[in-house]
Amino acid sequence: MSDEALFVNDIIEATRDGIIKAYQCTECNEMGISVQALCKQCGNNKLNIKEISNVGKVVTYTIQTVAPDPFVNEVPYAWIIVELEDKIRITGWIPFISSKEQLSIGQKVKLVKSYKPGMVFEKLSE
Amino acid sequence: MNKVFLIGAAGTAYGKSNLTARDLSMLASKHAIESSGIKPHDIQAAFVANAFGMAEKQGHLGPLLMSSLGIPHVPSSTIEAACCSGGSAFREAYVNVASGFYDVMLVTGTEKVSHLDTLTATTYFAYGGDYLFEGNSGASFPGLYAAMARAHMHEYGTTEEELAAVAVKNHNNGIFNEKAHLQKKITVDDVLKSPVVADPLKFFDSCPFSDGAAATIIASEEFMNKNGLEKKVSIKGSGRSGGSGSLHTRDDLSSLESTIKASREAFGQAGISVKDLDFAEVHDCFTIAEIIAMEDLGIFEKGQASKAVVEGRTAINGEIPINPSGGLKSKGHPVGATGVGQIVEVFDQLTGNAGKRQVNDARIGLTHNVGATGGSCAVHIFERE
Repeated sequence: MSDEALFVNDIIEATRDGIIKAYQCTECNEMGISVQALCKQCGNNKLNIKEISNVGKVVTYTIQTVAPDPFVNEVPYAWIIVELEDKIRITGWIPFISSKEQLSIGQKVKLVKSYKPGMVFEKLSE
Repeated sequence: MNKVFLIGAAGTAYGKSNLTARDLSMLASKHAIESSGIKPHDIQAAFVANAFGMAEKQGHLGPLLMSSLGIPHVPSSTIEAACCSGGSAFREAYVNVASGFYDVMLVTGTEKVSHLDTLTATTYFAYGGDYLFEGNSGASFPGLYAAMARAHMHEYGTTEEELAAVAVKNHNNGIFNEKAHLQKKITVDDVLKSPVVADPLKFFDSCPFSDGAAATIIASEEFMNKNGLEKKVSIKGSGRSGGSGSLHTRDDLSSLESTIKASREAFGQAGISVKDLDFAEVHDCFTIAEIIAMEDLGIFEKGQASKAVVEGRTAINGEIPINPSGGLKSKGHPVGATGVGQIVEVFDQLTGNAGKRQVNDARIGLTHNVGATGGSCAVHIFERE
C-alpha cells in the first residue's frame, strides 16, 4: 500500500519518531510532504516515498495563546512552518515558547521524537 | 451561457440567536422569496450552504427546509466548502441556471455555533484547514492567518497598526448595518490593546463566531420575460478556484492563489477590469485577510493595501469602498451563510436599499468568499440593470 502513495498515517507515524517522510516523483523528481498519490508537477502516478532531513529553518510562525483541543494546557507555544534542508516545507510546533521575541524567522529547528501531540520541533543553535 | 439575474435576497440579523440553523435559513429564504416577487413553487431546485450542521445534531438540512417552505418535492443538497460554502453554493446554482437546466433556484446559507463553548468552536474551526499538518500540531484557525500575517509583515513591512485600521474601518461601516453582529465603534488603540489570540492577531483583528442565515433567488432571462418580472441586478461574472488547502505547500504565504484565479475568471467573464468596480465585499475573517484579498483581487499592488486602508481609500466614501456591510469583522461570520450574505449586501447596494451605508451610485459590485486559508475561493460580479 504505502509505496503507492503517501498516506496520513505514514506521515503521523514517522514524525512521532522524529522522522520525516516525503514523496519524490519518479519522472520529474518533484518532492513534497503531503498526502499524495499523483505528482503535482507532471501528473505521474509513481512516487517514491523516502526519509529526508528533519532539520530546517522557520519560515513563519505564530504564538498560540488560545488553542484548540488537545493543546489547551500547552499555551503559550509556537506553531511554525519550516523549510527543511531539502527545500520543502512542513509544519509543527515548539512547546514552551511564550513570546514572539523567543523565536525569529530563519531560526534553525529540528523535528524531535514526540513527547507531546503533533509534530514537535526544538530550536537548534547555529 | 444564458444571462442570469439576482432577483431576491434577504438575510437574518447576525449574532447570537436562540433559533436553530434550520429556523434561520427558513426565515431568510421566506424573505428572499418575498423580495423576489416569485411564488415558492416557481423554485425548481435549491442549494443549502452549511458547514457545522452536525454541531446541532442535524444533517440533511435541505429537504427539511424545502418542506418548511411548502415545496417538499424541490430537490436540494448541502454544499460544504468551509467558510466558502455560501459562495460555492451560489456558483453551483449559477451554473445550473446559466446552462439552462433550471430557470429558478434558491441558494441559502445558514450556521448556528453560539451554543458551542469557545474551546469546541475553536476546535471545529481548526477542522477547515489541513488538520494533519495544522490543527494536529496545535494551530488554531486564527493561528493559520497569524502565520500568514507574520509572513506579510516580514515581506512588505505591514504593521499591526495598519491591520488594526481594517478593523476600525469595518466597525465604522457595521454601525450603519442594523443586522450586524458587532455594532460598535472601535479605535486602533482598542485593537492593539485587545487580548492576543495568535500573535500578531488579536481579539479585534478577528471576526466573531456568529449565528445567522442568508438567502438569494436567481432566475433565467427567459423566466423573467415570461413572468414580466423587473430586472434589477444581473450576474456578470462567476469565478471559482481551488488552491492548496495546506499552508506549508505554498511558496508564497502572503497571497492566496485561489483568489487570484477565481477573480481573473470572474473579471474575464464580466468583461470588466478591477477599476470598474464601485465596491466589494471581501472575505475579512481576520484583518490580514482583507489586506491579502485586496492585493490578490488586484485592487492594490502587493504591499500597498494596508497603506490604502490607513489613508481612508477603502472607506464607504473612499475611492473603492471595501466591506460597506461591515464585513465578517463587524457584520459577523455565520460560516455557511457568509458567502450568501455578501451577495445580499450587493443586492441591497445595487438596488439602493443600503440605508446609511449606501455606496454612492453603486453600479458594479463584487463578492469574494474564501474557504479556510484559501483551499476554496468564489468570486462573483454583479451589475445594476
